[in-house]
Amino acid sequence: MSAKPTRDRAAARARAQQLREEQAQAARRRERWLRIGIAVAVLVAVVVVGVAVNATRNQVDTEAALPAGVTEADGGLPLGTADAPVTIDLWEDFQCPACADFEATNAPVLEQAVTEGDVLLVLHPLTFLDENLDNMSSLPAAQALACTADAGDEAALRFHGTVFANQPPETRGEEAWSEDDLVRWAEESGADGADVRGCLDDERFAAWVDNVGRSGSSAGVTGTPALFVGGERVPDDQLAAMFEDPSVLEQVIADAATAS
Amino acid sequence: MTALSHRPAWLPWVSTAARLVLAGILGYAGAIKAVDPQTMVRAVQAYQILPPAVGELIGLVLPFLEIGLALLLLLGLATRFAAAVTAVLMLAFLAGVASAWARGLSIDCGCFGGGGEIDPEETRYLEEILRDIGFLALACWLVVFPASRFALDRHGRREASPHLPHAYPDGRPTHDIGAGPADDVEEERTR
Repeated sequence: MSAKPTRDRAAARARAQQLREEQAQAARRRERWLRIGIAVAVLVAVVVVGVAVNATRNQVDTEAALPAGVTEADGGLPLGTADAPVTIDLWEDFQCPACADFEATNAPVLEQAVTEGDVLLVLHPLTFLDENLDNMSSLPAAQALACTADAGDEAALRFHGTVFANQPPETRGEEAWSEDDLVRWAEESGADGADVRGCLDDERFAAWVDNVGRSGSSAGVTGTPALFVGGERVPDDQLAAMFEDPSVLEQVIADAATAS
Repeated sequence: MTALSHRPAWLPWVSTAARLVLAGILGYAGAIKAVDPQTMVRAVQAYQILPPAVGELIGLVLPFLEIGLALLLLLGLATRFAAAVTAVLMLAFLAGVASAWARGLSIDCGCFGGGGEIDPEETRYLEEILRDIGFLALACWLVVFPASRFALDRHGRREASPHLPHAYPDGRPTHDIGAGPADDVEEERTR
């Protein structure tokens, strides 16, 4: 036998080997894309199912019992006359120190404006600090505000101010106030203590408070206090000025009244 | 990735560990945020980078994306792809936290639930950034070395390189008749 056929066979073997390798490579590529395809499908499925489940779980509870004067399931608590020239939406957490500072400076301005019919003050009590502070104080206070509203706008307004005036320093893991405190402050504000206690024990407005918390995200409220005058968010720098000087808010209210 | 045979045997085990650690972190972070979408939405919006509506969308989707990535990493399915997506995610988190820090915001990163505005003294930006860099490093490791034990991916199983025609890199016996690639090798030997 000459060497030629051997060389041919060797060349054929090499070609076959090369072909096999190319095929194997193509198969590997296909498999890789298949795996990535499956992975993308898994990601999409998890996201779609998860978001859908959360969407059904987190809908606004339209059956929620609403405090006096509230017309929408996630609407704020309106205090004052509905035809006031200026509407102010105030988003606060009863445990938020900045809100207490804001109130310390501006509560008299707001109370006077509401009493005189210049402003419709819409309170949106939030409860996110319960989680941040690892306690359960914002939720009962927000509910108590709703309970107190049954006794009239003035009682609710006074109660709102009293809670902020009595806000203790933030202490993680400790309650800021007891139910007895809330009932007492409600009584001092002109509400019936037994009514408010019953309302708190029944958790009558818990679903509404929950709804308000949800509406906060849609309104873009990421921190408290957040103030909207005539539907317009008060910018941060102006809000900062309000902490120092009550005349800033007075001026904003006056400007909004002229504009309307 | 043909040079698998030159790699130390412990390498895939390190990748397995990286996969499981990253899966645990992402799964935990995703789950804790998924059960409380309102808090998550607020946490994203607190960065004040995106319009509130986009922030809301991200807040709703992100936890489940994290859970999905955790699942892929746990199973070892398309590991390199999952790790690459995770790395991009970590870069986005890093950019977000760094930007919040640079703009003087006082927020919690909301990485593991919570989030939103906090007291300026309570911000822990440096810690959050270092932590995310650690996670980014794990993800990058997996992008470079995706081959690992206990994974659905079968990295290198068919990579019978020209120099090693009779053995599989993962040490399977070559006489395993019945599996596709083994037939090739069998053929090779009998010829």
